[in-house]
Amino acid sequence: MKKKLFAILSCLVILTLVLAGCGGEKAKDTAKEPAAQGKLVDGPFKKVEGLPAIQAPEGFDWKQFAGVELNVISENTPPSSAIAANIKEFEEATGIKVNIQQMDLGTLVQKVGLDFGAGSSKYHVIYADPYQVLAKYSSKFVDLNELEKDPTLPKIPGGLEDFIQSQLEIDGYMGSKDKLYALPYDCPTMVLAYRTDVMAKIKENFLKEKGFDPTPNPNMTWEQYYQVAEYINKHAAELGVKYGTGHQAKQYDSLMCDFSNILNAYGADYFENRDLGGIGAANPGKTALTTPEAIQAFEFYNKLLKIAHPGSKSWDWNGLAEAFAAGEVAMAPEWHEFASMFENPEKSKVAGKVAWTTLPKGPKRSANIFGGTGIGINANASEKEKKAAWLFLVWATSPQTQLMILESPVGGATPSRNSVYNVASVKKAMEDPTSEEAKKMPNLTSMKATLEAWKAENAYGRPKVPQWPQIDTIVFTELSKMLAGQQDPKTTAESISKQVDALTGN
Amino acid sequence: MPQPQPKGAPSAGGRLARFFTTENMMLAPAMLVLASVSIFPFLYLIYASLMDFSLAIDNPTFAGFRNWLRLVKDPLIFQSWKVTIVYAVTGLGLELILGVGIALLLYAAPWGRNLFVTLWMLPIFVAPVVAGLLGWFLLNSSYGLYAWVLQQFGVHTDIFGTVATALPAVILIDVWEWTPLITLIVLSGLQSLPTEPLEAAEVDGATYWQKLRYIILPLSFRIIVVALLIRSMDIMRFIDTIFITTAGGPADSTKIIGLRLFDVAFRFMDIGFAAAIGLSMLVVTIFLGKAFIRVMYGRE
Amino acid sequence: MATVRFDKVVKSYGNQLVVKEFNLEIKDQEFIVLVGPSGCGKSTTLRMVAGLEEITGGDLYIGDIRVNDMPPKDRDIAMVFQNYALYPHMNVYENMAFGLKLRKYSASEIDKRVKEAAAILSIEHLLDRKPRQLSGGQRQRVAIGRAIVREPKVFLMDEPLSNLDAKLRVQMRAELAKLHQRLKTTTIYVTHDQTEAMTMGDRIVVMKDGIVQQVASPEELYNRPANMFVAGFIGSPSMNFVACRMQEKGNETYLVNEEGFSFLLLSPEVAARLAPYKQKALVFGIRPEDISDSLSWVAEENYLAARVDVVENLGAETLIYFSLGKETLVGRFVGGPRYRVGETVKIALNPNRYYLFDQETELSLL
Repeated sequence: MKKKLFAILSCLVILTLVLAGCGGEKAKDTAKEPAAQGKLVDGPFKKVEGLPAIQAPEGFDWKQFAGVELNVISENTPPSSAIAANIKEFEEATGIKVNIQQMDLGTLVQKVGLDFGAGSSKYHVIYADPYQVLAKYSSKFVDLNELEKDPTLPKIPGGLEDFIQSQLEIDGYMGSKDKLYALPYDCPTMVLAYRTDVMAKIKENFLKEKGFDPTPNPNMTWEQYYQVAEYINKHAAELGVKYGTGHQAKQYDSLMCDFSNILNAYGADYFENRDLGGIGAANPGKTALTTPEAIQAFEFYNKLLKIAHPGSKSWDWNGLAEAFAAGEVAMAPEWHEFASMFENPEKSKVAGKVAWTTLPKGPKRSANIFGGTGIGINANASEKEKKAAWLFLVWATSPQTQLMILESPVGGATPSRNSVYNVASVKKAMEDPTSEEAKKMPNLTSMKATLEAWKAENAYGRPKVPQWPQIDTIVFTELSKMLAGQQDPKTTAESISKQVDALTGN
Repeated sequence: MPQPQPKGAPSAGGRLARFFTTENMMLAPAMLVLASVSIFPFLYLIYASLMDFSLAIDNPTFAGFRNWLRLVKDPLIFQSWKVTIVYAVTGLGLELILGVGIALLLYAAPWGRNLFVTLWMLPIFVAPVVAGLLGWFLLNSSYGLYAWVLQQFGVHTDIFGTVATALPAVILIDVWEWTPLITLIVLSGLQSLPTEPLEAAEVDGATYWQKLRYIILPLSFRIIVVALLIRSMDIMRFIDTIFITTAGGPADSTKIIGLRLFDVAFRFMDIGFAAAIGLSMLVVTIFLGKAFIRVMYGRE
Repeated sequence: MATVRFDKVVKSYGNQLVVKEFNLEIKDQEFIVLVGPSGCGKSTTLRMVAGLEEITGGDLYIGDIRVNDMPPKDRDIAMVFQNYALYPHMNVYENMAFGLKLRKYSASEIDKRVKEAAAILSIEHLLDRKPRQLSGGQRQRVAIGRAIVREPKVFLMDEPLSNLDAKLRVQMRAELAKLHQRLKTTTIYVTHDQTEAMTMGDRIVVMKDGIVQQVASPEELYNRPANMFVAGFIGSPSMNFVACRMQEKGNETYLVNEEGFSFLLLSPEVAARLAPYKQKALVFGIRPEDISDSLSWVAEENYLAARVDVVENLGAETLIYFSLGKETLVGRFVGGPRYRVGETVKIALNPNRYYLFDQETELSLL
């Protein structure tokens, strides 16, 4: 049964990729039209079979910005580490000096906010978290369409169409599609990690007792997930884990993420306006958290966390990942980029025993929150710096660089480019988790599930509004109170609604 | 007692001449530095508290006293002050009792004082962030040593994830890190006490406890107040440890006012409201400081 | 009130012996002074009585009770410290009442005793002041007051006057003596000042390097010092010492040296007693007040011709430093200066008031 599922899944993935690829090809041709005055020539970068090359208009001097110094501010994520480790290629090709500063997201938001507030351009290339940076400061970013259209500058290899479109929408736009502020750069997404060995052990008895396969699969419901978790709790001692499920439910951003999956799976969302997850809006309108579906979601989340590992309430995503890697829990909704950590025997006791699938379904669907980010250019930078930064953006988001990041031992993040998933080695790694290629790119163990999660019917984007940091805080604080037993789910939903509506003036 | 200097001595030059005296000229650079690092930012803070930055951080609009009103009306601020009071009072209380107690033990110790003081002081040199990480590692439910010990006794709660234990845990981390500072300050005070009054008390018939009660504590009263004063100002400002371990949770149970300020200022970029919170903290700190100083000099 | 008895009391810090076999019996009501240069162990001895220093060996009795292992608070003693040791945070009244309060005296009794003591010391008007508002002399009175309100068995005083200026010291000295006459409490008084010792003590214990040199009344100490140290320590200016040998000229015995010193021993008994020391090196001692230029003491041939080096005019008396060859002698003369520096004058040494020591043992031979 499992095998069959796997096969179907693989087919689905490949189908999506092919479709996406085709769409990209078509769109690219039309997009090229306006800039087709001159011939495009390959730039001085490494080429990879099957990937669109980085190209510039004929006669483009790649070294014309030599000597410019670019400050790149980024969250300390695997792709930035990989870029930093391989920045030489770009520096040698362009003569531009790149300083990559990595820090935690909170600090980054702080520094970027102060840079914008001061009207300066201490940072030229900015890691634009859609919710904490882009939604609030979109007007401070350069419209990348202008640079893409500029006939004197290099083009985005493969065009905008090669980006995964739902990600481009979330990462790149704000409020409307008139202006493009950032290009997709990384793409963590929450999916479900589980222990294959634990599932194998309980499968037979569980099936007999409950009548369904306990192994998580795209058709599993949250209620079934709850039963599996509860069952594992009961038999924890013999299974070698402590609890069935673990969550990132610290009073922190992670709690909102974890909850959002269930909220949306139950057919509810934060606001009445359901279109905020993509391009976002300046004013979100009224909240919709007191609908029967929403209340159900609150109730279920509260119930689920009661049987979760008690550590859940002090874990953010890192804490959860450490616990999962330490073999504390059998299942965990977690960001897919932790796959490489789970497969690293030095950091993980469960290497080789982890499988991934999309998150369980609610009454409505499976919702998998997207947490990717794009990179954009500070509008306060000088013209020369902007153009130099454009070269960096083109290079850093190019399929080749994305592939490099995927393969990098310090990186390991997954590409935000459709074309990369067509590269033979990547395909092989996803087909066969035991292959050499898969060992080289451990992140791909979660990739099939993730690609599923990116499909429109499974993807969830949280509301992209300028007030998000405050809303986020209200949501996770009230949820934390609920989990602490200080208020019931209904009160929690009402309290969040009241505070958020007061905040947004609705 | 020194006689007060006669004031208003007749001056030969005018106002200007008096201003450009050597001593004023020599003070000028220091005053300039002070003005630029301290006075100007302070005035700006007052200005910021009257502005609204939430719509456009680089183009604030006048907000009147709205930020100050929020300070009074916002139940979250009130809640944070409540947590702060519990955090500070218990933390300081424990640090005071332990710090003074250990200082007294060391003061009476016949040998090994220096070695112990050196070891005991190590936590002070650790950055608060590291102290937080250390606490996190030790109490972490997946691999924390203390958590493991508790689990052996059948206690399976997650220390930082449970309302009842999170605040005590962060208080204890603060106590672990800063009790040595109190010990150090008080011990140095004890060591500079004149020995003769203590001997006199012994001869006068005092037991150790009577000596402590009537001589040692009254004589080191000021230095203890100084230690408390320093710590009381820090305890409101130091958010690193809590930031690392609980981030204010669960259920806001460890969200001290400093952490709330951090949220408002750096996560929400609501600079105006943050300035108002900051100023209110400053006012509280000043009153606290004044109260301590009054206590200190009230006991002659 | 009580006696204090030291029986072979020893104090050492590790290998360092600070007080060596101290034996002494202090009588009830006695005022005994421990005197000696700094580091001689006198303060340590006192602190052992107080219980502030542990006793390394021997036994110490206050009254009939062995107090070696008794904490200070149970010894019923009161101590006055060099730096007064007042409790800085208490006012004068509280300072004096503290010991009584600890001993749970009733408030009225405390009040009575403090007021009495304050009256004795004339500090009634200072009772509300804090120590830092007092002058040195006033503080010293408070410190004494604090000791006397307790009516202890023994008073211990550790250089109580050394922080006062000279005039005040003389005044307080007299007052302390008066106080003792009035209270008659056994008192052990430590000082490095021989004048204080001589003026106050019923008996004086002279100490050096942890060893008792002599225990005697002031008169005896002055007239019959046991050794060169005591002889040199008591009296101001100090006794003159001259190294010499015996020489017989006919029937007469002289003490002489190469510097031209010569002294005729008048008493045949002394000469006879010195017979065993004929070949030994001796030290001749003479106090400055026993050097004279009136020359009536001895026959002319026994005058010494000395050169005047320094003349110190003290008003009522004059100190003159003479040199005799390489020897230096200081003489004390009543009245103003009578010689000029550089002059050579004839002086005589009092033939009945001299001292003689064995140079090797430094012990007195008379």
